Amino acid sequence: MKILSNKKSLIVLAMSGVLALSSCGKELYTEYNTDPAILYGIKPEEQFTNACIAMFDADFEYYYDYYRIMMPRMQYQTGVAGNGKTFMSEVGNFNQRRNYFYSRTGNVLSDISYLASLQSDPTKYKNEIAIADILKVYYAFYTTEINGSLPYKEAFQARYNGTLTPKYDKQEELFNTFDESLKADIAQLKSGDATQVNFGTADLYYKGVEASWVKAANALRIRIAMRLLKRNPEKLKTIATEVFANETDLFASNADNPEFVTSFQHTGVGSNWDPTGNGGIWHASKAVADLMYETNDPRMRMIFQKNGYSQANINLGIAQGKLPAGTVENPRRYFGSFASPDAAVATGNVRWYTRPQITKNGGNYLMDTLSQIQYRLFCPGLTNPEVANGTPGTGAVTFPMLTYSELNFHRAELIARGILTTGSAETYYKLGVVNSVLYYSTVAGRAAVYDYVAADETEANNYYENNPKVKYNAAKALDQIASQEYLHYFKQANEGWSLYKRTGMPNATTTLAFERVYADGVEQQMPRRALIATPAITDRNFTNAQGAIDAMAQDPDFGQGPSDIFGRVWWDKK
Amino acid sequence: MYPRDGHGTPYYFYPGASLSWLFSEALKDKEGFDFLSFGKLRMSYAVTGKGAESWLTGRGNYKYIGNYTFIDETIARYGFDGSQMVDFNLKNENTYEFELGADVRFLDNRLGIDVAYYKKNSKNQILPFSIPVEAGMSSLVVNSGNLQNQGVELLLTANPIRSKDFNWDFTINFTRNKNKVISLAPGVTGYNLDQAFGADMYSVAMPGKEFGTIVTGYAYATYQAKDASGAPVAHANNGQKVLKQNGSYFRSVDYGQGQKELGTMMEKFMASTSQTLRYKNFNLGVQVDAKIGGKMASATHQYGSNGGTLASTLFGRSKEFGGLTRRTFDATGNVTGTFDDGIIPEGVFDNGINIKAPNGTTYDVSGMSYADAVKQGIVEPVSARIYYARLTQWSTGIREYSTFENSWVAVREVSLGYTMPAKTASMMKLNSLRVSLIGRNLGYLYNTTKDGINPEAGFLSNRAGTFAEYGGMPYIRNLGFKIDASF
Repeated sequence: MKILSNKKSLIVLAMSGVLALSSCGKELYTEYNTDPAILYGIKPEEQFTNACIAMFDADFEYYYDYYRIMMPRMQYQTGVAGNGKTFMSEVGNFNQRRNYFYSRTGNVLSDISYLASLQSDPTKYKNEIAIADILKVYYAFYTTEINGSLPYKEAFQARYNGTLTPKYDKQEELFNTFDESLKADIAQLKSGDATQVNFGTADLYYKGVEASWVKAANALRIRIAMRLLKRNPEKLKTIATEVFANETDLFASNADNPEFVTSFQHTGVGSNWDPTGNGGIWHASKAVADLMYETNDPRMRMIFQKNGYSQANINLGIAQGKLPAGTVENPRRYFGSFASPDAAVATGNVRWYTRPQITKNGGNYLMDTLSQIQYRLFCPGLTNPEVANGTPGTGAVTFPMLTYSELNFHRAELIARGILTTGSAETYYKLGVVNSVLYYSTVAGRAAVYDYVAADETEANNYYENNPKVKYNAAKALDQIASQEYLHYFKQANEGWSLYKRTGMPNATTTLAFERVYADGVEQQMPRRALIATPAITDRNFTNAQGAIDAMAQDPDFGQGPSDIFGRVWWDKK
Repeated sequence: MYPRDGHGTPYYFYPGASLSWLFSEALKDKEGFDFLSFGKLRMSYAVTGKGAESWLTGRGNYKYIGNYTFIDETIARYGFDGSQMVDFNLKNENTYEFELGADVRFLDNRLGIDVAYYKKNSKNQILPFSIPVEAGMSSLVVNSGNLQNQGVELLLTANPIRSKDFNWDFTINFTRNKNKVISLAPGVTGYNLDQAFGADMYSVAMPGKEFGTIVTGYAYATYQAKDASGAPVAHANNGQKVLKQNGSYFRSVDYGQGQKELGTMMEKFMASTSQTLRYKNFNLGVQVDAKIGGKMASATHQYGSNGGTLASTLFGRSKEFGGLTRRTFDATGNVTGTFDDGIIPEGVFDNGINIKAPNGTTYDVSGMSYADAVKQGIVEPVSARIYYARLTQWSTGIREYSTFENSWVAVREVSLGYTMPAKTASMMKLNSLRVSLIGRNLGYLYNTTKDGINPEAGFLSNRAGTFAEYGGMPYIRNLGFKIDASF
């Protein structure tokens, strides 16, 4: 017996020796297998800063969605020789936002609450979580608006060992969820809980000021509710009545606008952000330039450049034998390009697109009859080609999210439609117009657009008062509101497009008169949504994705299949 | 081993065994078996283990991204380390390999057959599987199920003629390999083996599909006529390629048809033979290799077509190369130019397309072929330059156009040699002297690639699923003269 027990202990001893040896090896091995750059958590504030940048970090979105698709479609600009015949139905690389929402913004914003849960007192982060949620709703709404059903409630869970096959939420459910979330976020931010931590300077938009976020959330509630005009006017009325009942929680000036103002380096020259990259040239549209010129709109000089026919350039052209002697400058230097492909090639119109080449400042210079857009609004680092020895710009670029003007235009429209019963449509319409002028003056000033001259309140007021087309006229209220709101969205073409889908304005008979668009004699229709991609065969969420498409296709307005961009998603009822 | 808590397995064990039986020894003195000169049966079984690549298990956390230039300051930006996450309980990979073979030689070793069958099952392979972007990540690294790789190899060696002055040896080698996905990880429906043209094309492994099936959303879209309610109806042009209003092709993904399967990249079989002949002092050696079946994509073909540097793009450039008359018109229908570089795209217009003809009338060309529209005077042929550009440029290119069967028979090597008679050699104080002329990669007897794209070299990666030629160095034909001398 004794011998046996000795043997036993010997075995135990030997085993523990092996264990000790292997656990020592394990530690070293673990260390070797650890990336020294790895961080197991970052501060919620650091992740929020990351999100603030990521919200506007989509260069392809500008390259494709804005410059090449939405801005030409909405007649904010045209290509160098007008628009191509298929421009109203082009879908190449459109809808960058869908992927961005899931891979760059929504996932980052969803992480704030997870990071908060890692902190020593997670209950102190409710305000930060609410602010992140407002931004997440903002981007989710922007995404569903043209995509319909999307995963939302079950999305973004992979990182936290949640579902890899999130269910799709119908757009109606999404709209409900968005409004409920925003209401809850506002309530949290207004709770006045002094123990809550604050983003401070980590918040690149508002420096953590909760009251400002409350205002932004209210403006967002209105933006979302406005889309319900046709689908659910009762709900729109309920939300609008609730939001507008409390003036202190509404934007009171452009200073309240949530916007991302950042260095010119964010949208670098020559990158996809640069509208002139790859030799791109974008002309002002005739529809916008004509009205702006007629009404002497101060925003005209902020968003469009003068054409190339200055007397100085003309003189060079004469001296170089490119222009007949005696040519003089036309005092009107703002001309727009035809949006209609047929019009751009029509006999008699082609001459607008002829650009004599002269030598100027030691280089080749094309004298453009038409106005080009103010490229620095999008890419402030550009050099002004008109100036001898010009230097690269160093201004700031602005990405507006929600604006005081937008809120006022919405409010005016709700009153004009009788949905809101208090207040004067004229008052809010005028606030919208005047503040739009002031806002563009600020944004263009930050970007140091070419030939920048600021607009002050007097100029903005004069513009409003002295133009019958601009000054409020009750008989044409909805037309005027839509026309001015449309102009205000030059920097937010997606909002202009939504306005059109929501109201059918602007159109060929409104104050801002859209040019009718013909390609080969056929009038072109406005696309209404994104092409909805059918899931890949290797997509493990195939069933949910295909199911969502099939469910949307139950609505006859959805169109002829997922690729029919003239079909509609839920909110965009006929 | 996982960072932070250090869980995981630091070691694993894998065994192997092999067995062979020289049965010719047993039959050596048996009657009737004297034709057998050598006979061996072999069998082996081995398990090979493999762990995760270093640092992999730490993925799915955070990192410092870089400095961001804000208005008046520089901000250190922190965020996710990427969009790949890793299963928290990875096991090591195991590969189970079984081989059965026979090597039999007859007639004094003048005829030999070596046959082998192998079957390799890779279980628990550590692979990143795509996850839906909506879940917030792009891929999850897990232990996959069971990938099988089995095949036969046949080697025939013969020496039909053996005499003092004339000798002929040859070998024929045949291999057939078949990969199969038996199962992937739970919840995973497919695995992308490799990609090309950015992420425009993939080769995929999916249970129930041929291994290495090439899929792309940038394939031709196929036409389907519809009635007023959008229901599909019979039409003579159903199944044709779909054209946009301007005569360019719709990509399948833009047409709501998603990704299209273009066939597998895997070959049906490979074969090669080497023949050696000697007549007196002359030697002739020839080696021919072949690969039959399997598809490839070619960036050289796609971009070369766009740039017009390939011979196939000569077609349509001018009358001499089959170009059709193409006229241009002004807005009122007057001819403003006539060219002879027209091409009629093969395909039909999509539903709902209207085109204004030069005569001023607008026609509904839904489902009409481009050729018919040309016949009816509605449209003119497309200029060759634009035709090829639209078909192959980055923004609108059809990758299916540059995907084709990759079968070939190559003359790998031919050598002709002469051995100097021993007398001559010894006169030069040499033991032996031989001169030979050698040519390698002389060309293809058979090649199915478009525009003679090299079917074997210049591939994008060396991953298992690589299917795209990407402009790397093709094989180079070389001719050499060799002198072998021994002292």
